[in-house]
Amino acid sequence: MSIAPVSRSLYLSAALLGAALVPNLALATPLDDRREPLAVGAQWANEPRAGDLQLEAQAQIDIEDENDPLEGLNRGIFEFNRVVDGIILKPAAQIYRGVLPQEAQDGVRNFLRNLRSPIILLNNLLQGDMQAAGNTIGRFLLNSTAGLGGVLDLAGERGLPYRGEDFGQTFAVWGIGDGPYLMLPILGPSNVRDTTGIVAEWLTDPVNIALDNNDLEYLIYVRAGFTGIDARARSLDVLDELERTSLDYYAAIRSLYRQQRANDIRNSRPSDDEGRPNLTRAQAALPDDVVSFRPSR
Amino acid sequence: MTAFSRRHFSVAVSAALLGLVLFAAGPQAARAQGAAPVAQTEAAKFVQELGNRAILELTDKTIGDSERVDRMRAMLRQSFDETAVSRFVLGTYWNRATPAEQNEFIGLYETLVSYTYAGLFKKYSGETFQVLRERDISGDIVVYAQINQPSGGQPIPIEILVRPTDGVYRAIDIKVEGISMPLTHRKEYASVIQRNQGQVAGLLKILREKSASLENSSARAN
Repeated sequence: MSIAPVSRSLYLSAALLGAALVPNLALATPLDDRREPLAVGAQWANEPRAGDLQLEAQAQIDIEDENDPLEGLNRGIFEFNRVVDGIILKPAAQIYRGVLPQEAQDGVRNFLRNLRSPIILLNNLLQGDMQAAGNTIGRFLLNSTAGLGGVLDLAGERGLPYRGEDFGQTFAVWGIGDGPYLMLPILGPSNVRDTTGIVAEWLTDPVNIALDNNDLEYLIYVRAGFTGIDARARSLDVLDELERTSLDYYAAIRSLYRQQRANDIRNSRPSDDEGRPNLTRAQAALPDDVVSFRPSR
Repeated sequence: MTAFSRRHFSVAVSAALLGLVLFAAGPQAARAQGAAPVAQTEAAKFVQELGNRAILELTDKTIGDSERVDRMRAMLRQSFDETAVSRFVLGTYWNRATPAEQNEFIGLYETLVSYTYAGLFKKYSGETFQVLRERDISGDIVVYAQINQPSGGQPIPIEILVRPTDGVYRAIDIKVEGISMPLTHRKEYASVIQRNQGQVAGLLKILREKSASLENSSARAN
């Protein structure tokens, strides 16, 4: 079984069609039905403490985001992905990890990350994050030259660590909500906002455009393949552990994807950190609201 | 001339001293950023000790899987407020469960979390745990920490929510890279309950089976 070399335009039209169709489903659900009332105290027999309220408020935000109107279809695609993963991706990742020494794997990852520099820079700028833009340029210049075309992450060793950005995160910074949860075939967990971001990246990525214009389209797929195998190889242990201990693997992945993306959007800063930039309104409002929900004595 | 030279001398000495101080302090300050905790309050000390203990006891390569699980279970009982965590994980379903169901859930959840963390720590080797700072949120305390990787890779950020009860500190939430395990379980278990006619009993049945299968596979491995 091999992934058919679907023409890029066909793939794009399908993804765009999906992205265009799905938001309408979100509108079908009234907002109020998706949000549980913030009666946080009710869950706690004794007087709630600040920590309870913080946890509750966090959970409430997640419930609001639960938003999975296509759950039946998504679960079907999830099972399909697990089969494909078991046949192709996971074995490939195991071989990759077993054959290549760690240094070589890091080299591949560094090279792939360096290739994303233009798209990361674009997103840094779209987010108005000039400091991050400077970091991205600095990393690209150093790693592309002294770092042998990006194989070595010299910048990371000198205090300029890699920080990925994508259009989904940029849309979030602009205040666009994530929309219904989506399980994409092969690509895995996503949502309407992030899927739109994937399409936008596919369309604008200068590296892929350059390859396309020079009849090297197959290299786009080679790159995508290595990106997938690298990511899978690094998550082998964690996903095995999760699958082993979870009661509902689909629901666990759904929650983890949300938390992971929220963390990416916050650029890994703690959700209630004092110096938090670039938060969506709901996230930024969290700590103060938590305090104001406290029962007055 | 004499006055000038004396002043000149004292300036030179001050500069030299300053240079010496900066030189000596420089590397130390840099190291302190990566090593010494900011303030050793009781909560920070509790979390530092918890982290040290976890790394010392759970990454031990000489013990078997079931011993690792037992050690994790002992840590959960001693250092976590298991009732508070269980309540949070069950969420609105906590109050719908009978006291017997609540008790059974606490026990089964302890087993599941013991296996999960034991499995994750088993892969660790050479990491160190370091408390960075803390933040009081009126009563409970969030302690920010990180796990330093031996390879020199990016440290893994950790947040631990700590609750003082009768002068004893207990953890009620742990976030690794912004991801909370109790929150993930809460979402997952809510889904399980919803798919079992909204019955907590349905969740307990599946938890019992999962816990038995984890214990069996661990017993076979030893």
